[in-house]
Amino acid sequence: MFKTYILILQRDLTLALRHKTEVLTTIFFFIIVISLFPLGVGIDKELLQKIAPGVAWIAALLASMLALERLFSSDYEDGTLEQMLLSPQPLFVIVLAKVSAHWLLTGLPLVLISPLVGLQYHLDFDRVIMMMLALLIGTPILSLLGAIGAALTLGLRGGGVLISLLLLPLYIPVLIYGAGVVVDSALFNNNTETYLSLLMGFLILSLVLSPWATAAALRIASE
Amino acid sequence: MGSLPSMGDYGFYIGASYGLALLFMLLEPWLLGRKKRSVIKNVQRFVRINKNRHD
Amino acid sequence: MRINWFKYAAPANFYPIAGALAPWFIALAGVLAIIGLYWGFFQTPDILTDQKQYYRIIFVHVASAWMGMWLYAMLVLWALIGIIFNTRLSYMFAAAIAPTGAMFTFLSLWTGAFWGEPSWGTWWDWDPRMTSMLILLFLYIGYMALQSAIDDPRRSDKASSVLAMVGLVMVPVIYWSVNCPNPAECAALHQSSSMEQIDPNIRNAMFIMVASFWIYSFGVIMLRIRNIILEREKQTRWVQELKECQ
Repeated sequence: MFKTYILILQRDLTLALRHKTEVLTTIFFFIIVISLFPLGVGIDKELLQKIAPGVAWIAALLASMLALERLFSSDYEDGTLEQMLLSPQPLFVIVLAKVSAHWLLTGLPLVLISPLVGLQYHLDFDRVIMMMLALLIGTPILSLLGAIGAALTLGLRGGGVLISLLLLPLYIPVLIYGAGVVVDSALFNNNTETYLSLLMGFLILSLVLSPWATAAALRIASE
Repeated sequence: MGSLPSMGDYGFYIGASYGLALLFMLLEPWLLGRKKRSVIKNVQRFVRINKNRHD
Repeated sequence: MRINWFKYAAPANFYPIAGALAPWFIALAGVLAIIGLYWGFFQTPDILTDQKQYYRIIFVHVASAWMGMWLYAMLVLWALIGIIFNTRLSYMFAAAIAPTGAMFTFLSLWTGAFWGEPSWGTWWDWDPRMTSMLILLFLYIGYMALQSAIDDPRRSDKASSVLAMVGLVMVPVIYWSVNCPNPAECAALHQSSSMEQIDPNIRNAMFIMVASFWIYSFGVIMLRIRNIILEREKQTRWVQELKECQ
């Protein structure tokens, strides 16, 4: 089982690294979105500091959604997915491996690039660390929930827009606590641990829920 | 029998609330009736095609 | 007398019953609404001063907000039954409930705005309950969008049921996170439930309106199910032999 996981993870990573532009698109999308906000709302330093966590998280939500459509679609089109469904390996392991690959390719780069937000929005060091921590816990949730949406809209016309319609409401708790923890960390008597443990709990919930729902959705899509 | 108290300046707000509710709740059955007629027309066309094929 | 409920799980047997019941439901809902509103507008004492007459929006506001939430629960319940027993009719119920639920959710936001403007001085506030109703509306829209994006009815039924069930798990989480953006203090701006303090006349009128909206929903859902049945089963013999289809 673990072997299957590693194997599919390696395969997806190899495939993705052959098309580097796809990975880079996500990162640059994130950078461009966060760079556009100051142009739109003005360059007042205090205002920027105030909106930075929310802007960073919304940019992260949208960026992680960009690559979702391709999560299963290429496998669906060339028939690999059907083979995966027929294989004796449990489907949730396969799903989990593909989600992990998606996170490594879109979530992790966002975590690593997020200090740039601190630079552009005048955040101090502690808050940047907190934002990276929140993104580190939060982006896997985005990938996990995203997999459900990707599986449900597999092979549909206009699937990309539909995915965002289905998923964005479900991302709300991550947005609230992910941005909330950064805001909170600047307060005098903060309770960042509560926020982070809530995010962790949410990660565990989606870890339980998502592979099951994604597997069910994939079976339905390929009937 | 009670009497309707004066709504004062709030007639607009109350009217807008109940007005849209009434509009929606009349519109919905009406739209469903329209839809039903178009669905039935569709089935009738289907039946006719089937009949012609059998003849 | 034993009624064989499973007999009515077949669309062919349910179709005529739904058609027979729907007008009665809608008529009854109309009668109840008239009673409720008469009670609400003519029989309630003016416990609130003349300046606060806008509270009379409560009868439509609370009823539609409750319907918006309950219909989502009903939708999920039918989706669940559909997945467990794999009956076509349950999926049709779920699909038929969604538009009415979305309508009531929108109505509660609309009437809430018209209540908020005179009482709070603003059409919209990011109050937890308003925000959760808005998100509920998004969930309905997502469900309907997914349903209509898939052409094959069997796949669209099952896929949207999975979505509804994911929504069921997520709704408490979303609701909680909206309610407590700061986990240390969960403050609700909307006054907390004050059911006991309400004047019994107002409360009774409100409950009659809720009953009216429930029965209205039954009626409209029956009408919509009939349309769905006709659309999906037009190749079957019993539909083609219906007298209205000749």
